[in-house]
Amino acid sequence: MTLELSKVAPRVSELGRSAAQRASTRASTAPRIRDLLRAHRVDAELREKVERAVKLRWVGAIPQTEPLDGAIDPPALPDRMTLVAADGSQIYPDRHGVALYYVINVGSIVLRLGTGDTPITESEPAVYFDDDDLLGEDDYPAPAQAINARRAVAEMTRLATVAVEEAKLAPTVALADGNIALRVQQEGISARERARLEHDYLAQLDRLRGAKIATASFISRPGATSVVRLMQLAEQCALDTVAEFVKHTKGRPYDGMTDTPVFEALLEPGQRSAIFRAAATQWSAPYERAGHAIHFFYVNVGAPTQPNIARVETPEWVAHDDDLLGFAHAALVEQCRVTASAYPYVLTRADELAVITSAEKANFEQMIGVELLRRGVEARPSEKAATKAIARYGKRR
Amino acid sequence: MTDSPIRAGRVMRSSTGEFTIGTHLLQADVPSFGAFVKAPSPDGGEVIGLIYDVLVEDDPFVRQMIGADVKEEYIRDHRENRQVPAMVSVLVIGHRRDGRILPYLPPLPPAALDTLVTCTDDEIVAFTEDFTYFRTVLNAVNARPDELLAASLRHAAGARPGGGREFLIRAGRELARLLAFDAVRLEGLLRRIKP
Repeated sequence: MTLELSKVAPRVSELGRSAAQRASTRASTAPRIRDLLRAHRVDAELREKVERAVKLRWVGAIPQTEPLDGAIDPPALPDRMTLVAADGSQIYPDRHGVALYYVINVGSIVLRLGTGDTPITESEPAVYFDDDDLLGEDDYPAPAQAINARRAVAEMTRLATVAVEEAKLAPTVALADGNIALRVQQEGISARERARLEHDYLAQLDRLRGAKIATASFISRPGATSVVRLMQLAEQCALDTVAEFVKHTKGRPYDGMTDTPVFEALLEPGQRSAIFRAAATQWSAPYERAGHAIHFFYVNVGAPTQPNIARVETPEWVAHDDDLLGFAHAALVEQCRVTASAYPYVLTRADELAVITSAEKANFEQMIGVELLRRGVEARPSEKAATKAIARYGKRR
Repeated sequence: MTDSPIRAGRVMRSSTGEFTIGTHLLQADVPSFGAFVKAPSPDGGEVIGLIYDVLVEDDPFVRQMIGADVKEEYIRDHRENRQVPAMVSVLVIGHRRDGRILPYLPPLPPAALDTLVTCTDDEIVAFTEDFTYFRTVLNAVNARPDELLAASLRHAAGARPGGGREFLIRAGRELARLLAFDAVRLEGLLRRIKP
């Protein structure tokens, strides 16, 4: 055993103490922030402050038309509605493996509520091994960030392709997991690829908008602080000192308070918060330019005794369309009630359809090895990988 | 009545005396408890057995849905799309080699991934003309022997024209001989196969 638990035990104890303290602080602060939301529910001066702050790259939540303390029940679920979800997984390229390749596997599900039909499920793997796909500008295998971004584009492409067809038959909700924006502003992805991926991703959002599909992404256990920052602006900043406030206010407000406990204190099961617009960041600027500005709301998908707050992100054309917003809200609440886990059923299934297990990866590598040997190519991992595997197999210390 | 074999699943693990197959789904035409089934033997023959247990594996995802008011679409997704790992256990009761039915254990068990199919009515009738397999079933350790034997006799009677009344009477007589020392067990068995 190389992780000597006796050596880390004191840090584990400190970690526990710190987590308990944070939870206690949040529990005591949440009602105060909730009361601030109520006090500023309709506040023209706050909106003016936000307008000024946004120009200075402040990153809080931007109020829209609904009162800030809104706690809105889901509309009734239509008799017939279709839910579509897609998710992906991957095998990263490994230059120490038996061959240089990577795999992206996208799973999708179409669930036609109200028909009694068996859902349509699919898993679509794609294997890449050409140099153009594999190698970055430095001739090293494409880094994980690049593969992740390509996977996200593949997921959104599948989501749009399936949802656009379904929308011809019934109102359709398209669900993705995690943030709705493609995060490609990262090291390891060339500017040219960034532009291409972003273009392809936005093209899928264009298709979804064209077919009037209620498109949303679901973030479980969100850690965002944007509404808390908005309340900080309301409470601690005067209209004529916004510039100084934005310039000098650093770190997480209210001792690390996040939005989640605030909405736990505000929302009953099934209810959603008001819609907010996400302040522009490096991720969101292209979306704003393309008419897909990122909006969000919080929704309580838990039970009366166990609130469970999720953050839902939508493009602006969903956020400002009452019908589409209602579909997404009602569908998410219904989905989270199917299982006891407060996580949408179709996203769970899409993940299940996409995931590549370690056993499947081993089988795939074996298949490659057999094919290489059949063609007279030596198939073995690098000396480094082989030696490490041997040492780890018989690991003593 | 079954005129043609139905594919039931593939062999997951096997031994000389019993084997287990994995099957995708429980549905009406999947063979039931006590059904006669067969799988290829590595020596070119066929291993014949009785289904003695059908197990649906625990699935944590399904467990999460048990308390919810689940709509039909979700149930169909689980039953028809997900790889629900139903496992069917088979007690080996004989085999067939070179066209001859042999009511004792085969020299080799079926191999992994071999396909299990149901026996046709003609094959069931031919196999059950000889009651030697009764002893194998009555001495089975993992199966519920009396229930299994009775179920197999009901299947065998059903495979015969007219319901197999005469066959069941003959089988009852054979059981009376085998279980002469255990009247209680015999009575229980006869009640289960009463025509």
